[in-house]
Amino acid sequence: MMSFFKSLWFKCTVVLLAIAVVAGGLLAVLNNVLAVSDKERTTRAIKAIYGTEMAHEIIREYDKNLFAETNDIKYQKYENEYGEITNVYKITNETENCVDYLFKSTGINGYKGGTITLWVKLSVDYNQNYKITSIVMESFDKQTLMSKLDANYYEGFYKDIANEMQNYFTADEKDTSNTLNVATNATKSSRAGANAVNCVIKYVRDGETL
Amino acid sequence: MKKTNIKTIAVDGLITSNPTFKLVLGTCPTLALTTLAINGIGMGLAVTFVLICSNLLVSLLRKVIPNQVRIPAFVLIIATFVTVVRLVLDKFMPSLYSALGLYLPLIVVNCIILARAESFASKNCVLYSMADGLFTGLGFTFALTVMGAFRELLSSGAIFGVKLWDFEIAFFSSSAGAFFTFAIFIALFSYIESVVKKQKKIKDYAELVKLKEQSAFVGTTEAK
Repeated sequence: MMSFFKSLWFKCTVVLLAIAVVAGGLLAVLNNVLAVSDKERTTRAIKAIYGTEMAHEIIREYDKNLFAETNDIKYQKYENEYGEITNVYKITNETENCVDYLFKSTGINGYKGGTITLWVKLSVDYNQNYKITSIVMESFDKQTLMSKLDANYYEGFYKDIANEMQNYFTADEKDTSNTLNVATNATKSSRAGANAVNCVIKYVRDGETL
Repeated sequence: MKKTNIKTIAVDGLITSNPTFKLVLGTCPTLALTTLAINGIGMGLAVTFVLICSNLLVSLLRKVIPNQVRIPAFVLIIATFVTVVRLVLDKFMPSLYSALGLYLPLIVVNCIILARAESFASKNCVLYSMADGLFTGLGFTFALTVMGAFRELLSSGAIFGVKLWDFEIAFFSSSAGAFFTFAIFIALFSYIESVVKKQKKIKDYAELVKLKEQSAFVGTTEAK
């Protein structure tokens, strides 16, 4: 029996298990303290756009499990040929009047079939006309030239655009039927960015819940 | 055999055994993340933290960990600290966290960290192991930052996001540009090192000649 406890493989197992248990315990505590919740991520995006925290009402917030339970469209993601929208928020001011709508939209068909996810701010005037007023990048997948998509590129979707919500955007110079917005040397990533914005335009034009 | 002290550890980590320019280790993040100087400094500091902590723990446990399971034990220790870095960056520096992307979890298998744990920390005392982690990490940070600054300057005319001019060469933001920049810096580093070594040799030789002349002079006066 004693030889079992003195054996090399027992010592190796105990040492590895001890390290794993201590490391696991440490990480469990740290994860509890440092984990970033979905709510915090949304607050971060709102802060990045408005420069301050704003009250918001959930119009759509994708949750697979909640959707399966409740069958409420609020928890379903919206999809079209340009990509998908997982989150839509109504941003309100102190008097609880709607200020803007905020969309988390993912555009498809980027470089190597990857995606770009953007936060798109949509403002609405007294005549119920919608206008994109700000875009902030949330995340991307497989895109290697994201540094090419600078502030000028994102502003290209709403600055000096006359026919709001009427035209879709394109990164293809040959496509004359849509508004061209392309970052030099990053055509495929620009296409994913344009698709993310087009996804929001289609959402509004289709008359989806707002 | 070289005598181990803090000074030799510092010179080794920063210059003579610089992990990027001399040992050509950690090439994946070096090529992929040096599009911006801030990415370089962020990745470098993350690796430095993991290096210091993993070297500390490996050195502390070097007499406890059996030789047969040392590599899995090192990987467990390194993975723990990498996860800590990920949690901290995601919480407090989300923009840097998303910029480093996939390369942050890949620090676990970064050959610089495994190499230092295996070749240094598992054989030396805690203080020297931590110093080795610090200076090797700083050497890596220095390499990534200068490469990032060079590529950012030429590809977008800016350094640390501050625009300096409108002149841009798109090639330097591409993968080919990363290899080209890496080659330039390795060549430059080797050239500077050889010049410094040559000058040191000349200086040593001059001192030797001077000593010989002095001893010859003392010899002739004594003979007189």
